[in-house]
Order: sequence, then structure tokens, then C-alpha cells
Amino acid sequence: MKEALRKFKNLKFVRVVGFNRVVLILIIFLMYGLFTLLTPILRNGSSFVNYNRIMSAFNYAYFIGFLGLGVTFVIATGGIDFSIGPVMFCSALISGYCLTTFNLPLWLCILISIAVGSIFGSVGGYFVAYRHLPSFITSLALMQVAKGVGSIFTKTQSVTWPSDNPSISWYRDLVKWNNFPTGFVIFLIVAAICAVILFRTTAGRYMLCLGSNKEAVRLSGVDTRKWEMLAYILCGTLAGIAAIFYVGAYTTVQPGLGDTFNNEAIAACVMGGTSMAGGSASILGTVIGAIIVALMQEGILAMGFTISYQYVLTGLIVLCAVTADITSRKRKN
Amino acid sequence: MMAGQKKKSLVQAVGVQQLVIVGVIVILFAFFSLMSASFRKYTTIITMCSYMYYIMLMAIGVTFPLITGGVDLSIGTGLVCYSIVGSYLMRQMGLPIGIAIAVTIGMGIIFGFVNGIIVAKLNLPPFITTLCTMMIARGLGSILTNGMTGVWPMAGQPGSWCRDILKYKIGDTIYPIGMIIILVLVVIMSIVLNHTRVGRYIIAIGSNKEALKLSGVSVVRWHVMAYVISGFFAGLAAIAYACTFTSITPGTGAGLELDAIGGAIIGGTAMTGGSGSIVGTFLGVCLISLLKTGLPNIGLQANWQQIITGGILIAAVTVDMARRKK
Repeated sequence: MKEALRKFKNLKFVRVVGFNRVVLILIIFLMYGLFTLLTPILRNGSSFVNYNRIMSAFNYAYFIGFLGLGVTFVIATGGIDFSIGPVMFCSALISGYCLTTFNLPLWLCILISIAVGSIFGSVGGYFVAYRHLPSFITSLALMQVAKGVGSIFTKTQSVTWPSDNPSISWYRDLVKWNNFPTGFVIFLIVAAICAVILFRTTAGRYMLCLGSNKEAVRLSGVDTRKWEMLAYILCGTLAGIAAIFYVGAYTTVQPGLGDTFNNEAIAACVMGGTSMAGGSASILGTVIGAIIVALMQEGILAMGFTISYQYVLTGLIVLCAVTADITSRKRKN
Repeated sequence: MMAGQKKKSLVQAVGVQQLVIVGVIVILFAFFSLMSASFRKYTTIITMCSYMYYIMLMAIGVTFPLITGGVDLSIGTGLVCYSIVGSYLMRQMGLPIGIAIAVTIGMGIIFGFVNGIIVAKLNLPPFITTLCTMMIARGLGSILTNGMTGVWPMAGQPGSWCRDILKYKIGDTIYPIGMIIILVLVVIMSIVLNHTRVGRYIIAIGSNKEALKLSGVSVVRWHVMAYVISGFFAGLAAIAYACTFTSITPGTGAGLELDAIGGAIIGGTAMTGGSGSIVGTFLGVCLISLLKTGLPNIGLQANWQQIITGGILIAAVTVDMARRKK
């Protein structure tokens, strides 16, 4: 048994993808099997397997995935960002309000959405990197600010993006085009770009180094503050992109919400093998983690449970993933 | 010369930061009273007090994990969860209110204990641990009660004595006697923090955990204790919250903890741990509540409250960091 496991770990595919990621992919299939098995039992014969269900899981995976990719950069530097969910909602509210009330062109609104995300990211990054505030308290404060700004901008009204006007609803094609999941392709492309930034550029290398030993990087003459701030800006920008994919899938956004998505995005990250201690990250892991989170939510709803179970499960998953990470680190030392 | 020295020791005894906060509170109070006629009413003070109780209770509790260098984010959704379960016991199972109150506080202690064990024993980062328990509390409240809104007895109904603890009505005048309870608790917890073994060890964990461990103290026990205190006060806050609002929607409560944490930090509790005072926390929460009641009275929308909370929090931590650097 042990021998077989060792052999499996040494396979080329497993070494490239990483053992954790292979296990996660197996978990996806396991979950899928479990839901297929349990849904008919719990809901008198209704079936879990159908194309719409997969599409709906994908819709959820996109925006959680974009949020997760962003927060991966921040966690890699050893920080955390709890503001991404509300920032995403704030971006969607402001740009949607511009679209529906001020009748701005759609491309401009998409840019506004991304810009709002970047601004929140820059503010957070400034306070964390240049003012040395703890990242979790900064982002918690920004979370409240984002909720407030969103509500004030739209006068506490929910915003519904247009979905039937072909000239200004092409943003929906970014998510789904004639039943083809275009969003998944874009998501994978963005993930690939993120992987290149994190592992193949100076910026990414410095971010990872910051996470493992900030003092050493600083003493070697690098302006650590700049790179740390950049991680938060990337995170905010990706939250702005996530907003487009959120409205592309669901069209309506309500003010004052969004903080549950933080935890799901962070869950996707830590499940995927990004260490809470900083210094090691996995983009592929985050992608798989986002799919697991989305599949879990789809399964829970399909089996007839309420969304509250998803909250509890997400909490437990993050606890287990972080505990596992800490124990494995201890063993290595 | 002698007089000068005496004056200095008085300032030192109270703390410069605390005196500054008192000054700011007085100035703001005067400002709001001048600007707005509605603020000058006696009922505004009563409303402010009712909104302050649960924040104050949470803040007194969360000061302890903050002093150990940690944080407790689970208190906000936690208090909603506990009070919903309490109301479920009363309404659906017909238990007396005494038991409901005991269970509400008990759940707080259990959550605090779990937080403490995970942080102290398993060495997980406190903010991620309590974020997870925050998430769990958020879901658990609606799962245990099938998503029903929690309703606590209103004025005049049987069991409404728990409201009278906070607001006592004689004739037509309401007296905010909850303030007396808060003041008593502030004194008790100040003594616990500064003059008992629990408090001293909790401060020591925040300033130098390793040294404390090496001197042979069982750190885990006292570290857990800090979170248990926080959970216990979240349980008390749950009752104050239930008595103020009577009906509680499951799944809410996220963000309430930030007012409490903000109050503690304004009051001089260091984000890095190792120092803090309950009196400071009390003043900090007074300041936050004053802003939250006063600003809508001078024409700012209620939505600004969230921005104010966020802004205050960032400002307080920035000042704290800058001061510590010096």
C-alpha cells in the first residue's frame, strides 16, 4: 500500500500537478458521485446529473475563482484580504448603476467595475504595505467601507443589469455563449496569466519571498512595500473582474452583502495548497478549489439543504485545511 | 514643583490616550447638541444607550483576545446565533426564559472555548480560526432553528423582566439602568485584567509568550481563558441585543464585531497585544456609539455608518501603529 502510494507520487503527471492537486481532483469526482447518488434519495427521484446543473456550478465557480485567484497573491505575501466579496459587490453596484441610470456604454462600465476594484485594492495595499497595518483588520474595515459605498451610490437600491437588450447585454456572452461555457475558457486564461505573474516574473517572485521571509528581502535592498502593495492591487482588480462574471451569471446585485464570498474564496485558496503562513501558493490549486466550492454549493442545494449548511461546511473546510497545512509544516521542520 | 508632579501622576494614572478620548467625546457631544435639535432630546440618549450595551459587552470581552495578540471575529454572528437559539427554546419548546438565557450564555462560552482550543492548542492564526467559527455560527443559527426569526419577549409580555434590567420605566420616564450594570462589569473586568492571575497571564501572553512558557506556566490554559471570556461576554451581548431588538433575523450579525474591536483599539488596546485597558475600551465604545448616533442626526444617511466604522477602525490602528513605532 505504502509502496503503491510512493510509486503514484513519483508518476510524472502527479509530480507536475502536485500530489495535493491530484487528491483534490479525485475529491471532485467523489463529490460528484456522492451527489448523484444522494440527490434522488433525498429529493424523491430528482436527478443531480444534467447539463444545467453543471452550468450553474460553473457560474458559481467563475466569480469565486476570480476572487480566489486575487486573494492567492495576497496570501502568498503572508497577508489576507477579507474585503473581496463586498468589493466585488460594490464594483458591480457602481458600474451597474452607471449602466442603467447614467446610460454609459457597456465597455466603459466594465472598466469602471475593474477600476473600482483596483482602487479598493490600492487603498488596502497602501495601509498594509506603507503603514504596516495588520492586513486582516485593514481588509475588515474596507469591507465595511465597500458595503457602505455601494449602498450610498445606489441609494440602497438593488441594481439589475440589462439581460434582454442585445446591444448592451453582450457581457453575458462572456459567461455563457449559446450554452457554451465561455466563462470557463476566460477563467482558465486569466488563471494562466496569474500563474505566469506569480511564478515567472520578478513581481511574483518577490511576493512569494515576502511571504516566506520579509526581513531578508528588505535587507537585500528590495523595496518590499511596492511589491506588497501590488499584490493587493491585483487582488482588488480581480475582484472587479469577478463582479462582471457575477452579474453575467445572476444580473441582480443587492447592496450590503457579499461577505460570505470572502470565506468561500479563501476556502478555495487554502484547499488548493496556498499556505496561510505565506511564501507558497498554487494557482492550479485555487482553480480546482473554486470548482470544489461551487460543486459543493450546487450539491447542497440540489439535495434540498439550505445555504446555511454551505456556510458551516466552508468554515469547517478552512479550519481543516489550515490545520493540515500547519501540521505538515511542523513535521517538515 | 510638587503640584506639577502631582498633576503628572494624575495624567499618567488615567492615561493620556484616555483623557484625549474623554475630551473628544465632550467636544463631539457639544457639537452634535449644537447642530441638531433632535440630538438634544432625552430619548436620543436612551436610544444611544440601548445601541451601546451589546457593543460594549462584546468589546469588553474581545479586549482579552486582543491583549493576547489575537482577535475574536466570531462574536458578531455568534451573538445573533446564540440569541436565536435562546428564543427557539422559549417559543418552540416552551422553556422558561431563565433557561433560555442560560443556554444563550452557555453557547457563547462553548464557542469561546472551541476558539481558544484551536488557537492555543493547534496554533492556528486567531483571525482565520475565528473567521471560520464566525461562518459556522452564521449557518448554525438558522440550521438549529429551521431558519426561523428569533423573537424575544416584548415589553409587557411574560419574561419581559430581562428588558427591565436594561431600561427601567417609572411612570413615563425611562431610566437606562443598563449603564450601571455596564459600569459594574467594567470595574470587575478591570480588576480581573490588572489584579488577578488570569489577567496578568493574559497580558504576559501578549507581550512575551515564549518567556511565559519557559517560566513554567501552562500557557494553553490561560490563552484559552481569554477566548472563553470573550465568548461569555458575546453571550451576555446576545441577551442585550435580543432585549433591544426583540426580533432577530438568522444569518445577520456580520460586522457587529468590528464596532467592538474598533472600540477596544481606540481605547488603547494594542493590535500587537501585550497592553490594553477595559476603561479605555469603555471610552472607545462610547465614542463610536456617539458618532453612530450623532452623525445621522446631522443629516448623514444611515449607510454612512458602515463607512464610519471602517474609517474609524483604520484610523485607530494607524495611530496605534505609528505610536508604537515611536
